[in-house]
Amino acid sequence: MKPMPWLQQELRQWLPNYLNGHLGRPQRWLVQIWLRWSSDGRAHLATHRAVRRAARRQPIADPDPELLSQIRARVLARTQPRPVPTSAKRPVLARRFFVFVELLLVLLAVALIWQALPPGNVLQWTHNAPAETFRVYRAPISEAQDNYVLVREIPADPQDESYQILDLQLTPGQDYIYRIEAVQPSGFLAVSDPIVASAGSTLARQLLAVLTLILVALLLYASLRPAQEHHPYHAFNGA
Amino acid sequence: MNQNAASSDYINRPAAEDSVDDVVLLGRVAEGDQTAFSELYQRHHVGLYNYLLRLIHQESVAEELLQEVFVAVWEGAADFRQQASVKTWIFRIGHHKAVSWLRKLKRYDDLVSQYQPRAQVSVEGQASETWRADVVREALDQLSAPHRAVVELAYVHELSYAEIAQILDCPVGTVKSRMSYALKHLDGLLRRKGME
Repeated sequence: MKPMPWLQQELRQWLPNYLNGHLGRPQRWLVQIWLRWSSDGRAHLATHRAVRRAARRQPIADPDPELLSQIRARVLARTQPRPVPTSAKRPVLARRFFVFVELLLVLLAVALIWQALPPGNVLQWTHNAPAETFRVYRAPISEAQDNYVLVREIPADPQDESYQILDLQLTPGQDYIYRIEAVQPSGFLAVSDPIVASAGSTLARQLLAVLTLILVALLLYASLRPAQEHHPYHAFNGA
Repeated sequence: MNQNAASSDYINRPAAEDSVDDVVLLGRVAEGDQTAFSELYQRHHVGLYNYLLRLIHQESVAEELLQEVFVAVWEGAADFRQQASVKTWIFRIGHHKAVSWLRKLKRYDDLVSQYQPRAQVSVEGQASETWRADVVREALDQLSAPHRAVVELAYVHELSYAEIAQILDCPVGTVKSRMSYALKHLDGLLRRKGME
């Protein structure tokens, strides 16, 4: 049996891998059949074996035994092996994409927190009589009822009956009493019943907001840190 | 330099003898473990030193390059991605350092271009099994560094063509052709010595 010339050439080139046991089963099987029937193949194998034997019989040299100590001294003189930050390995476009996604997630988290735990007190009311403006007053519940301060004055809207304000200037843990005045076109005042509201959760909300901001800052810092210089052998590792 | 009895087993210690895998050792090296670094050195330094020495033929240079290789291993351990064996990775670093050194002497490129591929002829198969080992070794010494590298890595270090291609940073086809022409060259040298 004589395979085609191109196959013979391929089989000849497989011989070193065949000798070292690096061939897969089908390739090994092909080589074995070729060697069984081809004297040319057996001659090639003999050549490879002779060279391999000679190469393996070369004298083995040992380097200076002190070499390891010298290498240790050199590596100790340098810093510890440098762990490459994950961000440094990312391509620039991928890194920018991750920054964008991280920023989006943080904004989403802040929006959700704001929605679930709105800071301050929200006051809502409706008024279906003519009015020019509304004045919202606030006083600590523990102090005299006359110690009201003006929180906000908002103009009335003839097209709208419901109104809302957000009062953020509160002391944590303090209970407040609110009063709303509607200034009528005639100049008379319509005063609401007192409304009691607590600012007990304001501190927690503020802390959450601060922590969120710190998280944003840390994520941005980690992502935007400039990539460190690559090791010359990164390329071999598929970087 | 101490000369040991010739044996490729001395260079290619079977993996079963190593209680800890090379990759695990390298991971520890990446964490700054000096003991793991010493163990890794013990496993590979003889093989790598002999490989470098046979390419460069100068003990002092081979020792200096060996030092540089292991310093590079220490510094680059964290970057190893297991896309090749640790041995292949270390040998690739060593080979590149040897080639850089040879290029400074403008020897490597000349040697690569010295042997251009020609039409395949079947002279490599004509050598006899009766060659004397010392004559073959002498012939090996006369091989160019690129061709010697392929012969050493395939036969002494028992690496596959694919692994050799990774070390030499060239296509597998180039490794095959270098092996083919290395054998042809050896055959020619031995013929001239009357060892046909």
